[in-house]
Amino acid sequence: MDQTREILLEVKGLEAGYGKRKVLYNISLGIHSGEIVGLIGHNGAGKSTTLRSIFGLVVPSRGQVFYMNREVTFASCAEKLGLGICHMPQENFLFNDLTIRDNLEMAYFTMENSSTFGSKAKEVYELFPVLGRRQGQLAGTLSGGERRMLGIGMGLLRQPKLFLMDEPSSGLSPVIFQSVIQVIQKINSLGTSVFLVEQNVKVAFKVSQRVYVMKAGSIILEETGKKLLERGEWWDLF
Amino acid sequence: MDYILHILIFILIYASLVQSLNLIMGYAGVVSMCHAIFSGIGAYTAALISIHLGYNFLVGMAVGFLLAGVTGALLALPSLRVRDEYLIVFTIGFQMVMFELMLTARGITEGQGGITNIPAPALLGLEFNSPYSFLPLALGITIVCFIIAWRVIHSPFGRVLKAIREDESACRALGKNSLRFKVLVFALGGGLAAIGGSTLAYYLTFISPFSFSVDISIFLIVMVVMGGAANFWGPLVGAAILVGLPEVLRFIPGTADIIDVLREFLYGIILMLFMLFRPQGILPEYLGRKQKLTLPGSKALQELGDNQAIETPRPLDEKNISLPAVEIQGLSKSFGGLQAVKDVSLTLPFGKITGLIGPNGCGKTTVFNLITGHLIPNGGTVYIRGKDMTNKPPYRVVSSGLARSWQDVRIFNGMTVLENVLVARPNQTGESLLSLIFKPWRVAEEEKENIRKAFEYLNLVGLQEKADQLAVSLSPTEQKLIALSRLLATECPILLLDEPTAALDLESVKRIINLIKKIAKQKQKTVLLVEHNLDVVRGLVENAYFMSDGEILAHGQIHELIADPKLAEVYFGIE
Amino acid sequence: MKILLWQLLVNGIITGSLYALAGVSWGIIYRTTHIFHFSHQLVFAVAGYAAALVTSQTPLPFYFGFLTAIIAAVALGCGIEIFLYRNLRRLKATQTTIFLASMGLAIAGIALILFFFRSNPRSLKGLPAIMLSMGPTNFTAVDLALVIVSWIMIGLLLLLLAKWRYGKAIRAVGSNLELAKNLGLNPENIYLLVFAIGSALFGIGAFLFTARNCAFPTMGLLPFFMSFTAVFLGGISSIAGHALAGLILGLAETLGMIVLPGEYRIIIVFVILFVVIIIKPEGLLSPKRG
Repeated sequence: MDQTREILLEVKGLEAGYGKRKVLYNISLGIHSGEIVGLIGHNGAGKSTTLRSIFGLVVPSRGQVFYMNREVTFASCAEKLGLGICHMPQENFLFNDLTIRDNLEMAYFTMENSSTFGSKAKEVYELFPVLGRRQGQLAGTLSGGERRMLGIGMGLLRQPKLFLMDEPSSGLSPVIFQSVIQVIQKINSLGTSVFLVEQNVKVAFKVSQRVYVMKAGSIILEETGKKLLERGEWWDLF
Repeated sequence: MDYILHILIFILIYASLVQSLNLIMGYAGVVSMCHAIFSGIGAYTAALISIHLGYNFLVGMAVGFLLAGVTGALLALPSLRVRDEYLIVFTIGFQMVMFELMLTARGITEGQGGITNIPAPALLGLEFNSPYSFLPLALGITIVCFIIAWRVIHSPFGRVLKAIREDESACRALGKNSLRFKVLVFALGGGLAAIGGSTLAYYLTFISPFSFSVDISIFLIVMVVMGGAANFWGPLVGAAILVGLPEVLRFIPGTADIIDVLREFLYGIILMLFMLFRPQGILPEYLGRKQKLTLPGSKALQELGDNQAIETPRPLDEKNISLPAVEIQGLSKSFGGLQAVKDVSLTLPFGKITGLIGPNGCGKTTVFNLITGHLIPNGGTVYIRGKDMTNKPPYRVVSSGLARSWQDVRIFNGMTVLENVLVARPNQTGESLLSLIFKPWRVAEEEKENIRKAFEYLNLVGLQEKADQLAVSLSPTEQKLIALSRLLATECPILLLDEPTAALDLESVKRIINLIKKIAKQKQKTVLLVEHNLDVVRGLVENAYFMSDGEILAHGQIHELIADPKLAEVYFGIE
Repeated sequence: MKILLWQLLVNGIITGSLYALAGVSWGIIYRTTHIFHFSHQLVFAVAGYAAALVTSQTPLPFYFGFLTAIIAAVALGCGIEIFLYRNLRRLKATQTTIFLASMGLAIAGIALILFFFRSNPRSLKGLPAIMLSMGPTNFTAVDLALVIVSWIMIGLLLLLLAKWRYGKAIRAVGSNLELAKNLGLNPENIYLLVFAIGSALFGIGAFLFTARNCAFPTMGLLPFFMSFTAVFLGGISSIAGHALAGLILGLAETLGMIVLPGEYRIIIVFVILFVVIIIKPEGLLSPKRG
């Protein structure tokens, strides 16, 4: 890990699961300020659960999560949002029966100062003009790409320092996904660190400075994106 | 003295009523808000037959039993297809409607006033017209009801009821037609309630609709819940306490006029407090983690299981090898506008493990569900062992020889390990109520043989020591082994495994791979394996199909597929 | 005959308006929390009695009765959520267990009312007793108030759900609980809000009912049954559906009297429900599940 940049998120020995079913076994990783870090692995390896336990949707049974050197292992989602962390799930990341504007409003709900919503929403519309044009449209009627834009927009409203993204490519055509990647790179350049779970590993390697590889609930490899891309062959990672 | 006998008779009658509801609520897990109506059907039928036709009381009881049974079945058939909340609404509705009918169909039921002068039962010259003489009759009837309940509960039929309660989908995937079981238990429960109701009619020689109101239905529920749902003696405990205790209250001075209200209040409070602090009731279904195996000769069989030598595989039947076990042609499925599966054709060669791999969302699970009958295809055919199994419900697919496992395991938590495996055994005569009555020896013989086979399969996965423990108490890995053992117990030659190593750590994954490999070879199973962990695929599979976006892109040996750059592009993404 | 038809129609609208209000009051709770709130009938009875007592035992005018009904309803509804349902959820109780506990509370509560007030009905005092007529039909001022107030309340609810921040949060929690938690919303607070709103609406219904008839211990039974029938008939997800279904039920019940004598009314209602659920389980007014 790069010692020169400050550590934003540190996870030590994390174990978590659903009821008795353990899914994560001794997960340790770190994310620096300003980084894009990738997380890849076969389906069911525990990638989504890793994000969800970091964010607090799943309560870890063991281990610790540190954010800016503060322990946040058992902090609630609301608290983590307040600290500048946000999480976009892989599926069901929108309220289908609510409009675009209402979805954004819900994402801003727990902010103390709700009057600033208007200006923050405007910023999101500048980033995604198509959303701005159709504010009153029901989220359930949007196309795949538009849905993903809205999901990212909902995360960006609070200008997070750390954005946990779960497979933003799912449901998108390669072309649309490319524009989503450009957005991710843009927000990264503006200071948001991204922890990116991705199915499309080549893109993950290209866009991430470092990548963790998971298999059956454990991390089996940590490597720079560049080196992994150079490999050319990745079947053994799955 | 008469008074005490009177109370005892009431306790006995209610014990039968509660036991009949216990079958439906405790064992099958269905909440019924209309149980008093079945009791009412029994009571009115018995009364009318005895008064107008003059037959012996046994005739009245028998007709009441049949009438209530048929009514129960008719009510259950449409109701059980819908979601649970709707079922509660239906049974409430049925209760209200029938109560109204009882009040208003004066021609038949004589309305509010009720029917009086019901002739006391008489048999062989004896007349049961006082508490003293009626008590042995009530006792006898209750014993008969309890024996019937015992027989049903401790039988393969009862075992399937519990499995339905635990996880109906998983139970159907083992080849059981759950609807049939639920309809039958409603019919039987209704019939037994009718016997209780007719007993009440003959004892009191007077009945009115108010004995069968929604209050009584709720009262019965409280007794089931308090005594202990799915415990055989629970109904007796519940009836004894909730019928007996309020009578004790009568002796407290000053309570005479408020006794009804006090009773209602107590019922409500008891129900609420039990749900909060002891939902399993006074007598829980199982006491302790380890269960005494109540099956005959089980100890000896367990030892037999330990000494089982590994079976030598039968020589491969030449004819079987050439025919594919499963042949799928042009399968398609769309949801709304989304085409999940497009024109998928695949063949499972007999005795081999075939893989189905592809990136997330490519449609693997949908193909699975189309083959097993959980989804109906929009087009295409599914042939299993030469028979057309397209569009058939899951339990029919299983009887044609194809069974599936679940990614989320889905074992029956509230049953023992042995029961989990036993319920999967196919063609159990004891699952038919008629056979329980008319072929008890055959049922017992089969049960012994099924236990022997069950231990064989538990042995294979190394769980024979834990046969008597509740499945919920085992570790997740062990629970996967239960599921595997259960799957094998279906004797299906074709197995569809849905991510068998999901949520396991690296070590356990290796163990499961080796186990599946060994068993598949030994038992000559044909397997279709869906897996995302390619280590598992590499370890188990000879040939695989590669899917993407609902279509089959390639088929061949693993090393061929891996070497194909086009497939790599699909799997790992385009830059 | 035609005159009778018009009168029945008017009666049906009056009853239907009450059922519509009942439907949305239970529906908002069910849709958001997925709890089969059986004790809702207790809230109705308590609110009705509170209103009757305040107006008959004190010199306060009838609108104090209105306020008392709402306060009593909200207090009881929220109390049930805080002391019963929250604990049951914490204990990871199943839906059946929660349903039965709620039923137990309702039975005990109604028994308590019977104990304290016996079965003698209590009526609201201090209401103007004005007869009105429209064409060939007759109804009282209270009847008219019932219809007007019910639909104003239903409209207000729909407005709140659409425009108010917390209204949207209620819809969000009911639509996707996981995502709501992911965005930091606290479901417990939303549940409490929903119980407050639902109970308040049912309390208003109880006031109107008591004003029109009187308060008696089992007064909540029929309105409660109509409330969940309306919800399942109209489709769980649509509040407007609950209201419309309630109106249909009221009309069916009253107009059904032409065909069948009075006591069979309930049969009509449940037969409609049976048939609809079997043919279209998601309800009359919900979009078909893809």
